[in-house]
Amino acid sequence: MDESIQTVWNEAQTRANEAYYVQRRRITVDPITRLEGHGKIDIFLNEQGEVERAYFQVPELRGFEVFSLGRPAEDMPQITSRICGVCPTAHHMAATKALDDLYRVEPPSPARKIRELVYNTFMLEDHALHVYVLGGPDFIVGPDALPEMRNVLGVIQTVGVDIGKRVIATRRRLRELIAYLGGKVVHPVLGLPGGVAKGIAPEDLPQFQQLAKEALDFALFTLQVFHDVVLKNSAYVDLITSDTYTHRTYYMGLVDEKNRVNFYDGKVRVVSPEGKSTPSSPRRHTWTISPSTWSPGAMSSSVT
Amino acid sequence: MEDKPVTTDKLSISKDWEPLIVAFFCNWCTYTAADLAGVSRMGYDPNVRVIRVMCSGRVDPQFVLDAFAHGADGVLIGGCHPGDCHYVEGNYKTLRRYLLLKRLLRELGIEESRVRLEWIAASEGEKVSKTINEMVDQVRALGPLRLTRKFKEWDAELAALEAEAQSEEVEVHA
Amino acid sequence: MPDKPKIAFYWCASCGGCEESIVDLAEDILEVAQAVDIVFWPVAMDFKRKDVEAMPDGSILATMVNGSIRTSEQEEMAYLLRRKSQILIAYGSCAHTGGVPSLANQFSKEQILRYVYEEAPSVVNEQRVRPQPRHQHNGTAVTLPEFRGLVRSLDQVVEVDYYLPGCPPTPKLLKQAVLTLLSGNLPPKGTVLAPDTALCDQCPRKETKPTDLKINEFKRPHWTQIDPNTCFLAQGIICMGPATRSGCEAQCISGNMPCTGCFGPTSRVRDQGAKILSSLASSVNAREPEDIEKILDGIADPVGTFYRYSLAKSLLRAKVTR
Repeated sequence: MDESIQTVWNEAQTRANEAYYVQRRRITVDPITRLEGHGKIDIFLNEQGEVERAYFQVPELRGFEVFSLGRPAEDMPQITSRICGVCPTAHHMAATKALDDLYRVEPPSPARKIRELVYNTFMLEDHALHVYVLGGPDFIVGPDALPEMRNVLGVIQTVGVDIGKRVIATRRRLRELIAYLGGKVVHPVLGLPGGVAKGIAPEDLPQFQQLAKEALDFALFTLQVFHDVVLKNSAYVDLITSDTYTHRTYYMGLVDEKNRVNFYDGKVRVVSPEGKSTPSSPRRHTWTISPSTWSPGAMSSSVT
Repeated sequence: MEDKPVTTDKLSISKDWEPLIVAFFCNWCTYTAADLAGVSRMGYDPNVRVIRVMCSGRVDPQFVLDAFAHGADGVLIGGCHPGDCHYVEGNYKTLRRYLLLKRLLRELGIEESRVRLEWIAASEGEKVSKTINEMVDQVRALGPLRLTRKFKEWDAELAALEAEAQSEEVEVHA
Repeated sequence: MPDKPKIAFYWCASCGGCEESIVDLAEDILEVAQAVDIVFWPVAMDFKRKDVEAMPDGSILATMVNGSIRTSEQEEMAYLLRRKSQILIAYGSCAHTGGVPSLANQFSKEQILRYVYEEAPSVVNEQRVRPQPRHQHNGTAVTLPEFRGLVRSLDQVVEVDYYLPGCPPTPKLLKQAVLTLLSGNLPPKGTVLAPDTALCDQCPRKETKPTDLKINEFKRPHWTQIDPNTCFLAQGIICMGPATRSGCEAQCISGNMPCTGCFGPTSRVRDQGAKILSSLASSVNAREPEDIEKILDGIADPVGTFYRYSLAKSLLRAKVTR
């Protein structure tokens, strides 16, 4: 080949190879799946195949914090619930509690109990969603499962249709309870300052008490599924206990005066990775998390 | 017809711009008065497009918004004086709707003087003239609303994407 | 064995509630999974955007897109899914009429970005960093979509075949829609797949709604003991029922709270907010302007009340000066 042509050819080939390797060294996950929200991930590898840089990108913004400004406070429970349709009850309840604070009213005992009942039921069905539909498929179908299997249908295939039906039925009945008390399960309407919009008819109580018992059984059953399907799979256990999947964090939650978990309300309790808890903090708290000083142990807090 | 870029900034309003007012006149009173004005040769600004309705109560707030959405700079509603409505209650409903509509329009950035409700009896031809002329002046001072143009401006960001997508397709074939 | 028809679900500026309504098909979801192949559903399945791009055009029977359109990525996905699908369904209030996120149309893009990234009380961003559409990394770039100037419904961006209204739609309406799709007996294009009557028609409190409603005062729900058996409007509580499509089985009503309008208008109404404004105002029990204004003072937030789910599709679409 003529020398000048050879040079051009070589240059072109080098550039093409570089472009190819740059592309090969980029892994894009778009969109991220099995969670509420939008995101994409770009991972760049160096020539040795190690991760050089990773980007987590959130390509969505709706601006609730802006368009809620100037609106009537009592509309907030139903507007903020639209932030998330998977956990609308959480936003709804937080906004409702804010209304209690705003008007300086304590809900009467039945109202408080109804709110707790709704919220606890929500925690149950929401966690069931996570275990069986969202995060669970990663654990239940096995670490080598094909992408097409990593979903609720794959889970049902793995655990069997009967168990699948039990999961579906239990979750359905829990959500029907929320709908009974809150009008709708997705974006409930019960929250009012100082109370709730609807009571429970006494004749309906027994069925809910029964449902609560069955839900407890179901939770224990799910734990058993975890034991039988995940913990008995040594390949899985090795994976999830490896360094890659271990993250040492603090834990924060609400407890009552006897230190028992209360999802609806209570004192804030923070537990360190080693299991030590800080003294219970007052209820009203502003946490400022500044990106430049972020580290697991350092969260500046001020009481307002 | 060439579309010159126009903004609502008063300094750059085209000298040719004239306000466009859509008027809903009730058949029994205001429309009759407008007829009277015409027959009596009482002049009024030609910037008005009159739509006859049987009663001012027929004016659905959707009509007002639709008029703005189609390019009107102002909307005038003419009805019978309270107590004189041919259908008894119609004009009271108009008044209530008008008052609430004004609050809504304020929230949505449309100035007060762009919507007006006036009670004009069948004999008040002169009032028709006066009201129209006043309103045209007020709206002229406010400047054009030109929602049709605004919508096009807002949607230009979409068109950009479409054009991008189309030009990409062309490249592939080339 | 012929291939099962393909179905896809996608979410734009969405909350995920519409996804939940699909999962709320509960036992029926097994039946649906037998009848169709779900080929894209980010909340529940791991198929990626590039999988959709690789599909032949028109190979998806029906895609249900929920969420309104706020960013350029959502527009791209709408165009992509439109190409790949025979039928495109706007699922839920946001896709149908803009939804709650379209209340952002009262604010400008700059107001929103400035508050979210700089001014909000819990934000610390001294360097005023804002999301950038492009960030260079060596020879390539990572990208973020453009945040548009206003929120749009799905049909303001692409051609839509059908609508399933609601925030979210009910599983019952969804099931009916799926069966209709599979039957091949498709209704006219543009149909809203829910009954075409106002909610008052289905409301359990319908008998207590006066034919000649007279409102002396607009009461905010927490100002009064809400009678669980009487029409809300008769109690002076604003209810969107008269201007809202039925089909939801009056769930909010059964929760003893008024309708807020999420099913959008019936086919005979162009602008839902204007229509309820007309209806409520007509019923105000006063004749003098001062008396009327006093009663109207009880409506604290006309835009948020009348256009809570439909500002994007209203006649004015947004606050015209932002």
